[in-house]
Order: sequence, then C-alpha cells, then structure tokens
Amino acid sequence: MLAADGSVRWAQWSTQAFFDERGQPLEFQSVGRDVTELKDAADLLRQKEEHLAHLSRLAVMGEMVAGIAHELSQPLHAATTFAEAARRHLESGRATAPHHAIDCCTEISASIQRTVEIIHRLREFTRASAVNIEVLDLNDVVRGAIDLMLYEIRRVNARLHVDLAGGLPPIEGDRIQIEQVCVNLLKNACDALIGAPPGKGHIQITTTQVDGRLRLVIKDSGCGLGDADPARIFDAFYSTKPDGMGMGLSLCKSIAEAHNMQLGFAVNDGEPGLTFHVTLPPAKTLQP
Amino acid sequence: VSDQPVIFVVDDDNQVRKAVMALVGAMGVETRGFVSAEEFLAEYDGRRPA
Repeated sequence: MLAADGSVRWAQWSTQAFFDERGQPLEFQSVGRDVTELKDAADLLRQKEEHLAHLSRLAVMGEMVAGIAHELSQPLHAATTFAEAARRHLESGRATAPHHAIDCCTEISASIQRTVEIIHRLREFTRASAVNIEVLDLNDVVRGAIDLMLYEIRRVNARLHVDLAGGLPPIEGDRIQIEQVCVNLLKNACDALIGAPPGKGHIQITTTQVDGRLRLVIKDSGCGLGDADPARIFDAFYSTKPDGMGMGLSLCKSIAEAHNMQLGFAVNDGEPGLTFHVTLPPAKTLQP
Repeated sequence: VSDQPVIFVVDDDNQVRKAVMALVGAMGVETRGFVSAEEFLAEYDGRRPA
C-alpha cells in the first residue's frame, strides 16, 4: 500500500466468509493490519543474521590463517621445485631431457592451478554476500568444505574417511551457508580431537539418502561432550572451549532452520566421540 | 639388489613429494616416495644405503 506521505506500507489481510443455512455465501469479513514495522524488524533481523554469519566465517578463517598460509605455500613450493627440476633436465642435454621437462611443466601448471583454487575458495567463503538460493550438489559443497579444512584436519593428526553417496538428488540453498555448516561441524570435530592419542583421531564424513531426504553425517572419535550441557550445545555464546566464542554450532542451527534442514547430534555408542547429522530436503524445483 | 644409493622421499603432500622426487631424479639419483613415515618404515629393509 502507498501511504499518504508516499512511503510503502505492508498490510496483512485475513478474510472470512459467512454462509447461510443452504451454504450460500452471505458476507465476507476482512481485517487488515499494518505490519510494516513487523516486516522491517524481520528484515533487520535477517540482515543481522547474515552479518553475523559473515563475521563467523571470517573468525573461523582467522583462526586457521597459519594453516591456510601453509596450504597455499605447499603447491607454490612444489611448482618452484618442479621448475628447478625442469631446468636441470634441460641443462643435462640428455635425449630424454625435453620429455622430463614437459612432465615438469604439466606439474607446474597443476600446482599453480591448485593455489588458484584455494584462493578462490577462500575468497568465496569470506565474502560478504547476500543470500543466494540455488540448486546445489550436496557432495560438491561437502568437498568444498573439506578442501578448506584439510590443513586443520592434518594439524590434529586426524584420519579422514569420506564416503559420499552417488546419485543424490540436488538440494536447494545458499552454497556458502551450507558450506559454512560443514566447515563449522568439521572444525568442531577437529577441536574435539586435539590431544587425541596418535592414530586414534578419526573423522568420518558420509552422505546418504534416507526416505527421500539427504543426510550428511560427520562423526568424530574425539573427546565427546565432556562437561558440555547437551541441551545447550546449539545455544549462542555457549562454549566449553577455552577460547571458544560459542558461535559455530549456534550458527549451524540458524542456517539449518533457514534451509528447512534438521540438525542434531548423538554421543557415539560404545566408542568415544560425537556424531552430528544434518538432514536436508531435496530441491523442489527440477533444474539441471 | 643394486648398490646404487636411493633417496627416499617422505611427504604427505602428493605434489610436494613428486616435485622433490623430480628434482632429485634430475640429478640422476634414484628416488622412491612414501606418504608417511610408517609406510616408509614398513617398506625399508635397511640393506641399501639411504
């Protein structure tokens, strides 16, 4: 509605119909209510949530910056070494030298490509972007999150077991936010494994389809709940980690709610650690 | 069994390991790569100079 002062107002209308004994409509009763302020408040809340999600992504990456620097320097270091190998081959003047040098050049390209991909992923993940709902391949999003977390997983000496089901239906959602759920759950699994005895740290990531819905399971063999209150684990600012902000899981929860996903966890049966599971509906619209 | 020395390269990063092996190989020395120290120790019999 356009108000007298030219501003746009939002109204919510409820309409009721009344019928006589023979079922003929007698009258309609409509009640209109100005909900502009309610809608503004909801919009503001959504903006704040987006902002908070962005800050949390920055914080997670900030915590892992040393690892990320290492992840970036590895392929560059490999490229330099391959270049040096190619130079030595060519200088040797052996008949096989060009063949070896060409192999080295292929590896240099692959190494630099890997650096480019890591930078691209980082930029995507840390960018402040409006929510963009699109049709996604869950496995693709999970692999993206694993790429970002590889160093962290290695840092805590965890063995990663990945079992992604083929032929999953597409899902619908914001890529970055769903990736953020995966990253936060993986980070949580890594944190739970700090101090685990060598060879005992395992993280298992599984995607499956259950009753037409998609299921992502992240299981760790870490320290479990400890002193944490299971009822408060998804609460904001609730953390049992010495330097924890208590944002990771609570954000997972709000992202899950916005995406009509169910998020839960269970204490592992008969073995240490926790298992988090996310259940997602398949995309409603059928798009390629 | 040859008497030629072998350089064993242990690195869990595939690209880095391959790169070091390529460089050492370019120097004309035989190399063998392993993903982990455990894998290397399981394979290495200690007979050849390393």
